[in-house]
Amino acid sequence: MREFKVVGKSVPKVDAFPLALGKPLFADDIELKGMLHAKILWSPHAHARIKNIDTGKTEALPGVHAVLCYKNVPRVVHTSAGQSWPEPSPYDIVMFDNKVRHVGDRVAAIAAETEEIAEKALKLIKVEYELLPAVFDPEQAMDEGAPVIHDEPDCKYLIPVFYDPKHNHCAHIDLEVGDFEQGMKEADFVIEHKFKTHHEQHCSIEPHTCICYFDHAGRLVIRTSTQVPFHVRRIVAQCLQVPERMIRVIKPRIGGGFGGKQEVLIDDVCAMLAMRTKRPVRLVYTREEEFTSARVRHPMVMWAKTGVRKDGTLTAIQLRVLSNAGAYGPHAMTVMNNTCAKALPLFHCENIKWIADAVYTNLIPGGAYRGYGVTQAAFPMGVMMDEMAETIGMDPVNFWKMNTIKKGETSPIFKALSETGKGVEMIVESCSLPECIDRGAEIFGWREKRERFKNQPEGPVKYGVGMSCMVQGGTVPLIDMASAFAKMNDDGSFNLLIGAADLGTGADTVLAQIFAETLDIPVEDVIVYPSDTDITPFDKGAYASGTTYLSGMAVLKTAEKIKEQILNVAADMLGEPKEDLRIENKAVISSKSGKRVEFSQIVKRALYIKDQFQIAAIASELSRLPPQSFAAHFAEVEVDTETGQVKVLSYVAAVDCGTAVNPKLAEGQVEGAILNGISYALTEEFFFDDKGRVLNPSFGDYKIFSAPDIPKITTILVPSYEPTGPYGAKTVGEVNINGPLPAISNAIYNAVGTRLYDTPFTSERVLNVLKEKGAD
Amino acid sequence: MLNDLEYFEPETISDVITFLAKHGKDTKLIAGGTDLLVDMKKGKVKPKYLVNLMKIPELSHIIEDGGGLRIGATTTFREIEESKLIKEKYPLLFEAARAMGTVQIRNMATIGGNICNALPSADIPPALVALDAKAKIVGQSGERFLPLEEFFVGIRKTALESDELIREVHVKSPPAGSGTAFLKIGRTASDLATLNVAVRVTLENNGACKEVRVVVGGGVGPTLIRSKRAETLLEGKILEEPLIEKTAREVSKELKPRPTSIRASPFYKIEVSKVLVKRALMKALGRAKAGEDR
Ligand SMILES: Cc1cc2nc3c(=O)[nH]c(=O)nc-3n(C[C@H](O)[C@H](O)[C@H](O)COP(=O)(O)OP(=O)(O)OC[C@H]3O[C@@H](n4cnc5c(N)ncnc54)[C@H](O)[C@@H]3O)c2cc1C
Repeated sequence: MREFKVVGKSVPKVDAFPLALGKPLFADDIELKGMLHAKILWSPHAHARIKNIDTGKTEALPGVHAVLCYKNVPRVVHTSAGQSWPEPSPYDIVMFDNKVRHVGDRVAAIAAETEEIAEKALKLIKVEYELLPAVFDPEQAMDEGAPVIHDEPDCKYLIPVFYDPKHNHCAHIDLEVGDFEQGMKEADFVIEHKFKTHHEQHCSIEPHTCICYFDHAGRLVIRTSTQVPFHVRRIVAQCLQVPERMIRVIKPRIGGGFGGKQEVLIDDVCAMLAMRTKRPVRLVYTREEEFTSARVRHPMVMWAKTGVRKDGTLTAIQLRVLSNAGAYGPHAMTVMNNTCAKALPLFHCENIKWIADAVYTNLIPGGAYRGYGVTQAAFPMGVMMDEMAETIGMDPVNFWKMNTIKKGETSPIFKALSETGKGVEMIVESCSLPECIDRGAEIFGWREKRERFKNQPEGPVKYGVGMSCMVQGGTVPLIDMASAFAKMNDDGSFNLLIGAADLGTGADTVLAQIFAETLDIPVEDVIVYPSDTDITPFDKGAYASGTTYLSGMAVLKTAEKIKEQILNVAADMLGEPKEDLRIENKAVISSKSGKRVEFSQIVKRALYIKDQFQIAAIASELSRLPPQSFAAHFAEVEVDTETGQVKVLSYVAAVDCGTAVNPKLAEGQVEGAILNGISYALTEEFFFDDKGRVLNPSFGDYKIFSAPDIPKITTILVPSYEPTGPYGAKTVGEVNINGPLPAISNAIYNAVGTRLYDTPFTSERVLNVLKEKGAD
Repeated sequence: MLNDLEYFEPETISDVITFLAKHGKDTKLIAGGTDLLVDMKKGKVKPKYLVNLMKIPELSHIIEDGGGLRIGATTTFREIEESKLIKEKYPLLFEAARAMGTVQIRNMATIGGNICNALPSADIPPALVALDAKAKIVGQSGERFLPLEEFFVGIRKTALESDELIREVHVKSPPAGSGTAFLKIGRTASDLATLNVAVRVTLENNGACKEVRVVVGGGVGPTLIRSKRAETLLEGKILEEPLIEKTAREVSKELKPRPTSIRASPFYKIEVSKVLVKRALMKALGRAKAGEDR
């Protein structure tokens, strides 16, 4: 492995100090003169037509400056999904419609002098609804006679894909590689189960926040908590019907995104209110609104069927997926596609069949959520692998190693499908998964614990261990693009302008490290300025785990271009050929004469002395393939068979993210994802009543893990070297959220001999399953 | 919203009483605010006047006094949890206090607030009832004592008049031969109780059960439930596992969990109550025998 100076070191985050000092860095930390406060009126009904809205009393209330509803805003069909154009999500949403499709759907919005006035004003809006029957169960959404949620004539996809809104059918794709039926015939054992995964909210500590105002030139500035500043600019321009040049989007520091902010959720309304009032407008979601009117992980029903031979050969896999898109389809197709495209290349299997549907229902819409479909598919696949291993009497460690993709291999899935449609052929050029499995198992004490738990202690409390492996392809190949710009300053420091969106992840730091490594300078000499559509070049944004890999490559290329310019000037200064020169410690040194010029001398010469010019460069990178990051997870659980309580005692993750550019930050991503995943597996849960209302829209009732709940998590980074990534780096943001569901389910099975096919594994569900088993 | 109200910080109890006598109906007392502020933000409570109790020195103390304990109303859970006296002599209160919320909440939350908020899932009340605690209530017409179980009259309803406040909680020292236990189930460490159980077993010299308290909370009725059946079944008997198991089953029949709870179904609460009551009784019995609680 190559030795680096800055890459591979856990340098402190470039923004750590001001963050620790509580500087006003987040979207909501500014107070503008004359700023108005916006509030949105939400639908109390799951499905209804709005016959009339009377806003007379509201408008008459002193302090109210604007009221928006379907009557006075342009009807522009678009998608709220923050994806590259043309978006692979249906155009099925408008700013305000004369129809509501879920409880918590938008009805109207108000801008007023204070939040209190806005709240009061909301109550004065009179809405006449004509109630329509609603459908909540995805398995009934396509039934004959089911209420049609998108009956408007203008909903459509921009790209040629299946779409049948008249039957609530939001997306469909199926594919077969090899011959599934043949594979089944070759199997000694066939296993088949139905699985269900549940809703999940992102629970970013910072809620969706947007402040819009006009600059001195009368252009609209949108300061927003987003993962996708450039998509926000494009989509808001579209909704407001103004050219992009009128809009500047600034992404400040962000308090977590996890996919929830890969969405133009509130920016269009806030911007429209600013346009109407010509005043700054602030719109911030409450925590309750995050639960009722933001986005969630798509719940899915999945049917898995696999064939295995006694010798451990996986002969066939079939996965049938039914995704509950909710009331609108942002990310519905792409998340659905990833249950195959980014999940199934993990497996050594020639015969794979996959059939997937996404349907509209009158529930909160799904959206992007860390894991993006792979999390859902990894659950049935991880459990099926465990069950197959057991059936043929093989240790799961060996069975996983035998049946997962290795370096130098390919999967037919790569070519057959990507998240947007057609895939790209690729060979896995970096993979340390076998080593991850071995080292993870060893550090976890897998063999010893499997042996030990064959004999369970007396009493109600049982113990078990389970494992699962996972993959997550990064980026959307041939679509995702990132770019960077840099210029050199008098003292030899650099401004690095990146479109990439740091969400608290540390992306600014990682990109500064890659830049510093390439030019052999300390990180302090890189002044990062991120995510401002007026100033920084385009970047698709923070999603598909792509920032380190893709934006990192753009930064590396930018630095290399600058390096060339520096060497050219130095060659002229030293009177030596460029080929003899190298960069070292902020200087250029001749390997021949040993002479040396400092960066500060070089830049001064370029700026002031001879053939004056600005040393600067811009570079872009297009993703050509989805780099595969891998992990092997091991969970140890305690199950109280009398109360159903499951406690994770210890958790080990061995992770292949290529080169970890900043190991501390990479570990942070791993631990965060695991915690997020365990909390999802054990306690997080939405409750809806029979009218489609969310019954638990608060942290008091929707329980996420907090510090005292965290089990012992051990992270092992097992490096590999990805030739297409910056200094061998791949991706690390998402992959590890795919482990907890299957690993914990498998561990529960190991403890009590009962499998859980439905999530979450709450005490109540576990107790019920144990009682059912006891009853047979 | 929190705007339209007047805020007061009296320094004596008599100031509070005078104020309440005048404005009691429009006033909310605030201690740690961990319940009240949540309700106010949600608009569930809209007081005209807010009277802070935290600046009144006579309300915050833990004092041992004549075979018992007096805990001032604004004593925080953290103070209870960290009191050596309580940990050694009233371990049930220590266990209940520690099972409550997170450290951040326990730093703010008070025993008086926990009692007066009268949530059926509150953690300290079952422990106090198991120790036959009394509330010392003060108001315009003087002071009165009320056994804690009579203090709770419904979901978030108490026997307090609008001009009254709780001044202290009096806890009798558990008689010799006592053992206690507190058990709680929640979805996460910071969750309210899906179910909580406080138990005291007091044994005669001959090993028979002299007195027992089994108190179940966690939304199993409009208030916590002190099981009379348990007392009838166990007092005077030699406690052994089969009898304890039978008692736990009987206790579960006294519970009436609401079907609308987010935390768990009535079925789950009933099933688990049998488990927790049994475990708590066994644990308390073991401690009584070992003389752990003196
Ligand atoms: C995140 C979180 C977690 C929690 N977890 C738990 C838990 O695990 N277990 C649990 O039991 N509770 C829990 N709670 C609830 C709460 O913290 C407790 O009920 C707490 O003890 C309330 O005390 P306080 O001092 O904050 O009361 P406040 O909110 O100040 O007051 C509550 C009510 O009591 C009244 N009041 C207060 N003091 C007096 C007095 N001396 N006389 C008369 N009336 C009075 C107030 O007027 C108000 O109506 C939790 C709360 C939060 C926010």
